[in-house]
Parts: sequence; structure tokens; C-alpha cells
Amino acid sequence: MSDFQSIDTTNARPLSRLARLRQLRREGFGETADALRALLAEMTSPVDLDAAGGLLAAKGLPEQLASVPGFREQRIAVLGSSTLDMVPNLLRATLIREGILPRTLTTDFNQWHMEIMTGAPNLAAFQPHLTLCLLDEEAVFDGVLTPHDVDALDTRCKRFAEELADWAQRCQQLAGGRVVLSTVPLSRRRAGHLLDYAGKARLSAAWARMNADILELSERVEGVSVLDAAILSETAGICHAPDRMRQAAGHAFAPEFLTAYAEEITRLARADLGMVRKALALDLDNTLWGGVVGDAGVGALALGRMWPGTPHHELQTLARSYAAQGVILTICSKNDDDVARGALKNHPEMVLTGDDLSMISANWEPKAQNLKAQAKTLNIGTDAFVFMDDHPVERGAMREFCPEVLTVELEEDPSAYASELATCGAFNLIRLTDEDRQRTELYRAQADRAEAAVGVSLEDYLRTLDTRIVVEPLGVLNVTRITQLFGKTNQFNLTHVRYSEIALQDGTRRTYGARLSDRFGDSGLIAAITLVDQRDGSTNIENAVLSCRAFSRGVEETVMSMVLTDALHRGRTHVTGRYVPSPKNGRCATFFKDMGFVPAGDGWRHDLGDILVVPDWINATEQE
Amino acid sequence: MTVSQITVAEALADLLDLDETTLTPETLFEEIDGWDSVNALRLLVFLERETGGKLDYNAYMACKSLGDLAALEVQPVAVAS
Repeated sequence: MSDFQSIDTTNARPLSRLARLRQLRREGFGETADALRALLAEMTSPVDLDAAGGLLAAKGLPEQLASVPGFREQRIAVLGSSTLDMVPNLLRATLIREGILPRTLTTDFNQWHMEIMTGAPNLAAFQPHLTLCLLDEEAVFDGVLTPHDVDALDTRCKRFAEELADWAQRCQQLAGGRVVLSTVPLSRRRAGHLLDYAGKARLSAAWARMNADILELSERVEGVSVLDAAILSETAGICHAPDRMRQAAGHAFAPEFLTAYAEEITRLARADLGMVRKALALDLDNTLWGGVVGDAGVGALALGRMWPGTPHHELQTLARSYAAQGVILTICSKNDDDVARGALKNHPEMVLTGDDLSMISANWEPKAQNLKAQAKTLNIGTDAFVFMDDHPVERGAMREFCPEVLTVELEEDPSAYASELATCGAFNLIRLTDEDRQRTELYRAQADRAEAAVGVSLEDYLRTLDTRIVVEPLGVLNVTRITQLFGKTNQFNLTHVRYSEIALQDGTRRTYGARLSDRFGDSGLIAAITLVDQRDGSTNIENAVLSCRAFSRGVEETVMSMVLTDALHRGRTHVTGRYVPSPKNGRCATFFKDMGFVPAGDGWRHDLGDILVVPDWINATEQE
Repeated sequence: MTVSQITVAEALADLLDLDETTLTPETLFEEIDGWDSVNALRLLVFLERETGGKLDYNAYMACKSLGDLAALEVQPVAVAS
């Protein structure tokens, strides 16, 4: 050993991430908690995330974080058949990282079944938004006396799937909110009880059928989602707990698996709250294709089904799948416009076509500036964007100037580009709606409208649009979209009351949606309102939301005119409403005043005397 | 190699948000605010990561004071070459 290596470097050791977290806690998280979120984003090891989650549960901290603007609260119950002590901590770390502050409830060891069979006393009081149930194989094997008897195992697997279906239904009814189940992984230790390969295959088949039955619950039972544990295992690289932890502490799952689980639950919680990203901005050179088109020409680009074109082909195919499911694709490239468009149009193996791309910014301006301009034209927030670029400098600049954009971290080798994007989960949804499927078209029409609007007065322009609005009551066909609209809309959102599908259907309020179409196309369901009749003869507007793509077109006036007229016809005395300010909903501050309401108490009131008329350029109808 | 007092004190401070200067070899685990069986396991996993080796479970559970733990022998984990 050389002398240099024996020098004591104790004092020079950098602070551990946990030590930095403790320091940050002492100094305060600041107004935005961005530093806290960035620090949590650096942590990847289960040990750190578990400890960080523990530190963040300390007295007073949740209250401190609850007051950070933009943070959303979520109540999460965790049920299971093994020791899951780590899960609430891991969830706290991964959720806070994504701007969600959880309150968690855990039941005693292996109480998942008992809790529901006794009428869910703990859950009902807690009123969870999400009830998680993570079961391990012992929940299945508990009902089997001879673990090597294939017939008995086969029967047990069938029975277990039925029991769990029943359980999920009851749990959803008793607890409300969304129930999240997972498939049950089979360990090699349990499978190893059987000696013959025919028997091993039968057990695996019975087990796979059981898991398939469990997965089907997400279709069969309203309000239930099911995660595939096999995919979580692939993410984690390990599934079951080390033997010592299983024996000594009743752990069933490895910390790495539980971390992958917490991260997936975080994505699902974001989707459940409507905190989804909407747009993907892509670089061209060395991202969507290999090589620099301005230097090498279209013919020399690496793109296609042969190496080295395969990674770029794979990425384009993935982006196209996303576009078909409602993600808005845009291009942010440093290129001459005609060169970029020429390559997109003329390369024979190009997967993405002009129809898939809502906007193309190919110029020499900073990309953050281009992305902001795209957000403005598309009328969405920059925080709805994901950005993909092979160049570390471009990624760094985007993080610097638009930290709210999710910039995907990439390695130099493009082989993993598609995998990185596919596993980041930024666009995950609870359930796809027709509006999602048509979105690319909707937003291209939005960009066309913006072009058509140049040079005429707004009202003249609006008259040429041939706008039709149809107001319809809540029903099975629109409940998912209305829930999503309340969850996702930030700019035009009067009170920020959000609803689950179940809450909207519980009969305590009347809910309506409004659809908008014009000569450029069908914009789909773009507004929703909830009304509660009060005992004093008035009708209260509990909340109203309007999608940003329908701003400034007279939709607000039309819907409000219809609400007020309807109240008058039903013999209500007056209509009341409230505006609750948030960092993003400033544009509806004058809404009630503009609609002819007068201030009353801490809200607004309309006595149904002078009801504003539907703008003359709108054809409005009501659907029973 | 043993665990060492510095590693034990740092790990405990980070896990339970304690002031490191109050932790001495004589400190008993049962005196520590918030110490329980769950935290005992968390500390074990944490120390195994920090030291890169394994600790004997029974010997670990028998430790009463920080000093007992600091003196525990870390068993190297075989690495495939």
C-alpha cells in the first residue's frame, strides 16, 4: 500500500444524501420544496429511500409540506400478507419526489382479509383515495395442507382468484376510492416442492391462470386496478426477500421489489389525480435518427430495421404508439427548417409522419424557448412536457431553464432510448378515453385554428368556426372523461374540488359535461360542472372546469347561460358559487363577475334576473 | 474488519435523525428514542450496505450498546470473479 492511500480522509468525506436531507430539514424546504424533490430524485437505493421516507414522516413535516404550492395530498391504505414496514416510507419518498404528499394507513400483519371481512372499520374511517393490497404466495399456500399435491394446488389457485375477486369488490364498496391489487409471484422455493417436470408445469399453469384471473379484475370491477408483479420484478431485478429477512422478520418481498412497487404506485397515483404529462418533445439528429442530417444528408441517416438504425426505429415506433394513445408529439431540433422537414418527409424508413407530429420547431433558437412557444400555441403548460434529446448539454439547458419539464436522462448508446422512455411511465393513465385516442388530431386542429386566427377580429373569426356545444348529463359513457377533466384541469378550475368516478355517481350532486365541435373537428368533452341543490332553494356550483383548448371561445358564457336558465325553469331562487385561488387558476378570478354574479359572503350569487345570452356564433343544445 | 463506532453513529444519526455527538460507545439501544424491532432491522441492512459485508444475525441482535455493535466482525461477501 502506498503512503497516499493511508492518508486519513474522514474529514473530507462528502455528506451522504441522508445527511443532506437532514440538513435540508433543519434549514427548511423553502417555498417550492424543489431542492427536496431534486435530492429525493438522486436517491435510488431502497435503503436510502426507506430512511428518507422515515425522516420525512417526522412530526410537523407533513404539515410543512402540505402548505407548499402545487403539492397534492393523497390518503393511501397499505394492506398485505407479509411484513410491509418499508412500503409507507418508500411511498412517502417516491410520492413527495413527484409532488404528492401521502397520508398512509397500515393494518396489522396479515390483516388484509380480516379487515374487509369485518366491514373495514379502519379503512372506512380513513377514507383512502387508494387502497393497496400486495399479497405474496403464502396467502395462497395458507389454504393448502400438502404443498406437493398438484391437484390440491390447482383447486386452491382457482378458489383464491374467486376469493380475491369477492374481496376486491367488498373492499371497493367499503373503503371507496381506488383499489390496487397485484399479481402474486411464485417463488422457485415453493415451485421446488414438486419434483416431476409435468407437475412443475401444471403448477405453473394453474398459477398463471390464477394471476390472469386477478388481472381481469381491472376490467370486471369498477374502481380496481391490477399491477403485474412480473414486470415489477423485471424492473427490480429481484422479487422475493433474502431468506434471512423472510425467516427473521416475515418479509416476503425484496427491498428492491418494494421500491419498484412504490415507484409504480406513484405513477398510478399521479394518473389517478390526473397529474399526467401530455406532450413529448423530441430531438431529431442522433435521437429520432442516427447521424446529423445537415452534415451527412438524408441518405446517410441511421434509421430502420437494421443496425445501427434499429434503436431509432424502435424509438419512433414507441412515439407513434404514444401518439395513437393521445400523447402530443412535437419536434425540437437545431436544424434548418427545410432540411428537417425534408428528412421527415423523404426518408424511406421514417416511422413518424407529419400526421403524428403536432408541431415542428426546427431552428437555431434555444430549445427551452421553442418548447415554451409550443406550449403556448398548444395551450398546455410546459409542465405537461417530456423532453428527449441525446445531447447532454441540451438536456442540461432544458433542466436549467424549464425544470418543470421532465427531461429523460439518456446514456450515450442509443440502444436503450426506447426502453428509457417506455419505462419512465410519465404518460400513464388509469383508462384511455376516446378523447385520448383523438388528441393528436385535436391539437393539430388547434395549431391550424391559431393560424387561421391571424388577421381578423376575434368575433369575426369565431363566427366562421361554426361552433356547436352540446351539454349532456353524467352517464356511463362520459364519467371517465369527466373525472379526468376535473383531475387534470388547472387553469380554468373554480374551486379545485376533484372527484373520483365513484364520488360523481353517488347521487349527492348533478353533473354535466359539455362537448365542443367546429369546422376544424370535434374537440370532445371540454367542460364539466357539478351542481348541488340547497335546502334554501338555491343551487350551488360546487366546481366547474374548462379545458384550456376551449378557452376564449364563448364556452363559459354558453354553459353558464344554460345553467342559470335551467335553474330558473326548475324554480330555484338563486345560484351561488365560489372562486378559490390557486397558483394556476388566476384566469378565472373575474369569472363570476363577468357572468353577472354579485359578491355575497365569501362567494358569488346570481338572482336569475338578468341572464346573459348565448353568444350568437354558438349553436348550443341540451341532450337528455 | 469490524463495523466501527463512526459507521454505527453515522448510520443511527441518519436513520433516526439523531445528534451524532450524543452517541457514544456506552449508549444503549434501548435508551434511543424511537428504537424498536423495525429500526433494528433497518439498521442491520443499512450497516451491511455501508460496510459491504454481512453481519451475523444472532450476534447483531445480542448487541446491547453501540460499542458492542462497533466491535462486531464484518464477514466479507464472496464476489464471483
